[in-house]
Amino acid sequence: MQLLETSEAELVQRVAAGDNEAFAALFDRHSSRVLGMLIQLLRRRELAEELLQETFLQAWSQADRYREDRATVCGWLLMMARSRALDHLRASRSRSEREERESTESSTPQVTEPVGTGELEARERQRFVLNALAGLSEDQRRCVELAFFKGLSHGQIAAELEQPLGTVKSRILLGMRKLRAALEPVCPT
Amino acid sequence: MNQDHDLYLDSIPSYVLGALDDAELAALEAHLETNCAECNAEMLRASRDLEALAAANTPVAPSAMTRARLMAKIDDLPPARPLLGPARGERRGVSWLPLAAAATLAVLAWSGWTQLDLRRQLNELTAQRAADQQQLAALRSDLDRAQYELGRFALTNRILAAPGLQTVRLAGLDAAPQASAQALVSSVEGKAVFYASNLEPQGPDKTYQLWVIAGGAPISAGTFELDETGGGSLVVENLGTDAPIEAWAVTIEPAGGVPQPTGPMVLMGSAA
Repeated sequence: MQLLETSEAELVQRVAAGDNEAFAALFDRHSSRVLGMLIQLLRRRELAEELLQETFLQAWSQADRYREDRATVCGWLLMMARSRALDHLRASRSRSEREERESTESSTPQVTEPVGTGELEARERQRFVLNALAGLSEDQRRCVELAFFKGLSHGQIAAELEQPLGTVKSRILLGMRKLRAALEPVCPT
Repeated sequence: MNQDHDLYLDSIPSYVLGALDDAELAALEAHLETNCAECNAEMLRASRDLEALAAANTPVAPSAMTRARLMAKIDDLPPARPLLGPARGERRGVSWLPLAAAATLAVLAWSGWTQLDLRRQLNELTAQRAADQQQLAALRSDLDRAQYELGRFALTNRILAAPGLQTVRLAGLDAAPQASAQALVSSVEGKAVFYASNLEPQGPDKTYQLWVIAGGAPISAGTFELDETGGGSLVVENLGTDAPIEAWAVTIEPAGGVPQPTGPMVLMGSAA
């Protein structure tokens, strides 16, 4: 009950000090969202769960490095998870196989039934974000989607879209700025 | 320099997405090490953007196995910032401070051990006292019950020895055709002893209730519970009426009994 009222930053401080209960609470609060993103990127549930474990082990070992003025706790976890997933994707030797598999799938997730509590809220948030993405120009949306949902780098996106690197960078920057304004109602404070 | 800074600032949205190429990534991370306030603020905003964007993915609850494995793994891993104990690589060497600290710790340890032992003994004594009190309460309860049974036995003997004792037989009705009962009634004493057999047990919310019918009206003579053989008994200390009793009956009623019969009648016998 006490942990439920603990702020995110306090929770991470307790994790840094070796508090197992705080760590369990951190995992319970954020793991579903992190795993959802990992599955979207990796397309393999088993691998995603493995990287989820690695991400939270990193959080345990590096909790003292978390800076409240630089990232939300969820954002911090998502960034660590993305970094691991992207390393994995970029090191993957079966790149062509993956691309072939992905080419048959939309890079944007469909609204599906989420698991666990707060389902309605999660579904509403999902719709809201997908609508915000749909509000970008086609070029911006494509670049942001390739970066976020497929985990491609600037260079990879430029190659895939056959566009200059600078164009891709500016499309992502402008797209993300536009998204920020559109997503403000659902942004964490 | 300002132009470089703007480049760093502009690359932060791509940084949180993981879209920076290696060279861009290295350059930005080096800049972030300088603790640039403007870039820190942009990092915070971009992490919120990432969190909001992640809502586009369907949340998926991890398996219980993943959680259990993770919790087991952290048991073997040192935390990022332990609360107690020196950090690794702290200076070594003999000095009075560690010796004094060691001596203090030894005294504290001995004192702690003594306190622990005393606490353990106190806990044992407390537990023993609680067990003794529980046993005493059980003995008191047994004694109360024995005294009650003795009084009931004496009363039953007095009723049975009273002159003009009348026996009323009750027969099982449709609801309990196998049941039977008898009431031994002393009009002189205004008391009776009632025995029933072959009744079906009722749930905890039901009870059997004995009635005497006098002047056409039922008067409660009390409720009774069954033993494991389906038998029950009741000592009626006050028949509750001076009028001639016409009949005796037993009904099934809500636990605790009711002032007037409401449930099915299972036994009935005429006093005539």
